[in-house]
Amino acid sequence: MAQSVSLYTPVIYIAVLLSVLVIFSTVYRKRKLRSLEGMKPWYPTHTSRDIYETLAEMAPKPPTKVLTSALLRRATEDIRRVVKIREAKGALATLHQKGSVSDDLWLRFTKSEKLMELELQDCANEANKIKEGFASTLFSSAQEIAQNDAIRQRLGNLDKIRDDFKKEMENANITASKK
Amino acid sequence: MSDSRYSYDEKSEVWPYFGATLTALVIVPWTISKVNRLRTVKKDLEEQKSYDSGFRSPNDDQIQKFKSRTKKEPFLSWNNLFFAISWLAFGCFAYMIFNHELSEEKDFFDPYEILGVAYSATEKEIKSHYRKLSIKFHPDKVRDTVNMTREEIESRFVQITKAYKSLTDDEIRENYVKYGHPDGPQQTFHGIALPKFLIEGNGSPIVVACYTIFIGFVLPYVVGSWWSGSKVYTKKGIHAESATKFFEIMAKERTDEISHEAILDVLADSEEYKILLPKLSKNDIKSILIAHLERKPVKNENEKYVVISRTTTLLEGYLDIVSAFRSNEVSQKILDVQKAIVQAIPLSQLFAGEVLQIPFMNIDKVKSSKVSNFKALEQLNEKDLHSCLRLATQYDAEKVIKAAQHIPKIDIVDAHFKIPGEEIITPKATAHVVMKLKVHSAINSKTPTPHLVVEEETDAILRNPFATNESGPTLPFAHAPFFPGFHKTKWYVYLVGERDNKIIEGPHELTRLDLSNLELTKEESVNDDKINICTYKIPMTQLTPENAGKYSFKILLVSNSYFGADSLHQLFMDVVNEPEEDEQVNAEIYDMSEPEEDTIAGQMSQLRGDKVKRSTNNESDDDLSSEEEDLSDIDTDTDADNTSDESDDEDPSDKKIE
Repeated sequence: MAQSVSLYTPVIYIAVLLSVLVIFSTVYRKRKLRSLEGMKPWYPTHTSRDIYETLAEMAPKPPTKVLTSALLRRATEDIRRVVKIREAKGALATLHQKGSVSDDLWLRFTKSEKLMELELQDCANEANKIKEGFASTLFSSAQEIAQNDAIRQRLGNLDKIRDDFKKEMENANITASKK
Repeated sequence: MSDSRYSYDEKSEVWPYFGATLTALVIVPWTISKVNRLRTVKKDLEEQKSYDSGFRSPNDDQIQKFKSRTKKEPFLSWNNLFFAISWLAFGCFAYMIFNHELSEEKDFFDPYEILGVAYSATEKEIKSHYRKLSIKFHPDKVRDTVNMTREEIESRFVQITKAYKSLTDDEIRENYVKYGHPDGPQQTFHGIALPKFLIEGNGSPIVVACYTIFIGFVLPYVVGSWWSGSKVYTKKGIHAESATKFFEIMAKERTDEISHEAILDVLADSEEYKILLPKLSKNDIKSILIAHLERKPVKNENEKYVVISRTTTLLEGYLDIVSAFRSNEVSQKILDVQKAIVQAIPLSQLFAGEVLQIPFMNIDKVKSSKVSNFKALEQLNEKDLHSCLRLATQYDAEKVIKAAQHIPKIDIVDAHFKIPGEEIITPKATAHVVMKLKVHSAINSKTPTPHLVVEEETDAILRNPFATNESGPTLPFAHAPFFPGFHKTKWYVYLVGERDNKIIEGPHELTRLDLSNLELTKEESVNDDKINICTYKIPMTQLTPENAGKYSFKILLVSNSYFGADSLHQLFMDVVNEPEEDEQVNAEIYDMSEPEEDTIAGQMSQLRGDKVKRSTNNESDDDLSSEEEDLSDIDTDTDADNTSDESDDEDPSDKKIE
């Protein structure tokens, strides 16, 4: 009674369905990959790492002292960044939960955090290459250097703060002299 | 047996109902929201009308035009057009429904109606009635007329007989009860409320195409754009990119290096402006912002208004981000920039902001008169004012005084911590801050403070201590003659730790406040009966500290519109361990009143207890570390360093084991 359905109909149906799904998934994955590629790194440059790597790759190997100090600079910068990232992490978590920042930023930040970990590991490996067990010494010195840098920066900033306050006082004196 | 088939709505009987329902589904909520919006906009504008000082900025008419354009939506818009079309469609459907007579349903069989007897009629009555009818309508008795043919007359008689039988004959009656017709089951119809031309013939491809377009393209597009749109803007209504830019600065720079200028720079770099004004670069926007602050005209004034009117939302978004970093310093700077933009005062002249925000004042007058704040202004009498400020006329001096009087300043006359239902502050409890606020005019600081009445803890207050925050009248729009928009006045309330200057609670927004004190005359304001005291309570998300002791805090009330309207108050939290007997008594009372809830409450407090431990531990760690050294910033650095160091050390060793 019913009009006979061609055998090809279900086959075509399934083929179309599957191909659409496959196309979707490949396109989706490619786009996701591209968006990850296009993601801006949290810290775009790392000069001290570049310096160290150039030195390490030089044909006549530079003296160990030079390499060590370059590595120390690199570790210092790493420490500074790790600290900054850890400080910001808590705030970002709160903000992300509240919906005050985008998912992209969260993704970018967490990815950079992972990159930072890799960088630290790489740094430790390099240190151990110079001398077995040197990594812990390297990082504790680097930490001290970072702290010292921070204090120095703060000290240097004091002059500017003093000048600012001076200016503010002068402005306030406009009124004070009137009294 | 039964033969069913689909029939389309050929006479357009049903589908207008369908259409009308569908359109009603859209236009009813739409209309309600439209009416509501019209009403609230009108109400807003009336209730929150700002004080008019009579001062007009040079480009006032343009600003007013821009303001009204942003507030009222234009009459001729796509939105309104679609709205009108939908109503028109609804009208058409309604017209079709009312003008279409329902064709009589021939298949419907009601024996009572055919016989013309009441539903309550007894069998006897039916019989006698039938007899009468059969005599009257018998085909042998009725002659052919022009109106009726022989067949019709016969069929009428058959109907009457059938009706009679279905009420009296058992078998036929059963048929009637079962199938609704004395002859047995009838044809069933399944109608589809669509006009036939859409389904058959030329219409069907169109319908299929519409369906495909709607399901396959329009729906995914709408949902997709809604989703990505909701991702593009943050909860605070700023573009995600703008939020990211500001967050990056907060995360990377030191807080003391974020200056007013830096904030203005980020503002100029906002993604919003790239969308709204794609032709302008970051520097163009910055120069527009600066031109506004300096009250100078730019080439395209309209661009300026667009740029300036967006700043409020952006800065509020920044404020939200800063609060997560708990930086009081940067919050204050953001609010400084906010005030500067609202009142159009250059960043280099913020020190004289109090006076510069008053109409007719400028930096030259401030410099020559040496009047740069409210205090100095208050000491001048009106005659001095005229000469001292080099105002053109006496009339202007009056305006200056009036405008300054209408700048509200809040004094925190009292503030203390409070735990509902407790006399003391116990450890690990949810407390709030009760503030007593006295509003006075910025140039009348000597108003007396009436005797404060201690608030009795009624049931209503215990249930919701923060109800008072919502009770006052809404604050009016700010008096800001240079700002191209309606700027809502509010105060941000912060609770800040005294020691490390970090935000502990806030910002909370104080948007409702009774400003009636501003309307008092000088004579009246001496009398403390007339002075109104308001209450504001700051809810606290953090619990009170675990250990007993005295903790010091300060409360900051920061205006988002006026310079010199801020307020600062120091307060202490005296945490005392609760005497144990007291606790038992409380527990008993609690048991007696609500025994069932006790378990839930117990669980709740347990849950909270866990949380408490964690949070207070964190706090005490912080406290300890900041006690050791005063350089708090570096200090936290070292903390983090230590931990990071440890983990770093572990990493390579782990590797080795592997």
